[in-house]
Amino acid sequence: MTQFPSTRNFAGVTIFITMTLNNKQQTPRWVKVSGVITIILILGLVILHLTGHNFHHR
Amino acid sequence: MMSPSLRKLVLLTHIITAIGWPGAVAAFLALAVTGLTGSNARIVCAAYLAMEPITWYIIVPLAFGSLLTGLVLSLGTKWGLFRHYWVLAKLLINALSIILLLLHTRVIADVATAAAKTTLNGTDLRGQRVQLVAIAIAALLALLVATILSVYKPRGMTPFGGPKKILDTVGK
Repeated sequence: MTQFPSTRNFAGVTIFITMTLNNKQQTPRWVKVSGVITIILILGLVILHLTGHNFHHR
Repeated sequence: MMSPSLRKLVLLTHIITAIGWPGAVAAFLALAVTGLTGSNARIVCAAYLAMEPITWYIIVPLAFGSLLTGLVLSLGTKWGLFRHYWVLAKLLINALSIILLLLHTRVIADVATAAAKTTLNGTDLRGQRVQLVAIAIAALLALLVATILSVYKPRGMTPFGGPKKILDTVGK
């Protein structure tokens, strides 16, 4: 992992930023879950339309 | 960055439009359900006739108002448009909802036109009438999620707003 040296000294801010940078930056779980749900919903809608189960039959 | 008074004004407008939008969609849903399940033909027709002005004069302006004020707020404050996942998620929900709304205005117009010309019975335009209920429920759920995101502001920064970006900004 790349280490980011604290080259700028801004009273604690640098320490915080360096610590955060050195931790692996990950996508939050809620973003991943929402993404999966969205993809499932879109796929479901596409499948419904492709199979002709849309709302336009009278 | 915006001045505090301007920021408050834009925030106030954003809250009004962003909360008014699901409120108007809820009213639309009530009309769609009344139109689909109502037994009185005059009430059914009245419900569908009311949908078009509600859409064009209330829902569409509130939707665009919410999007524009949201853009101004995010770009004019520390939140940014692409820095935080929750802001990005709200932008996507807002933009997709507007696209779907505009795509479905034709269905609304078709049903309203039919209601104006003739009495709709239980099976007339059944598919479109069910679709109106379905899109209203979907829109309401999406806007509910957007409201929850605004209040809870879940953590998480995108690669565009991560700590490296902050370090670059601090160093300038």
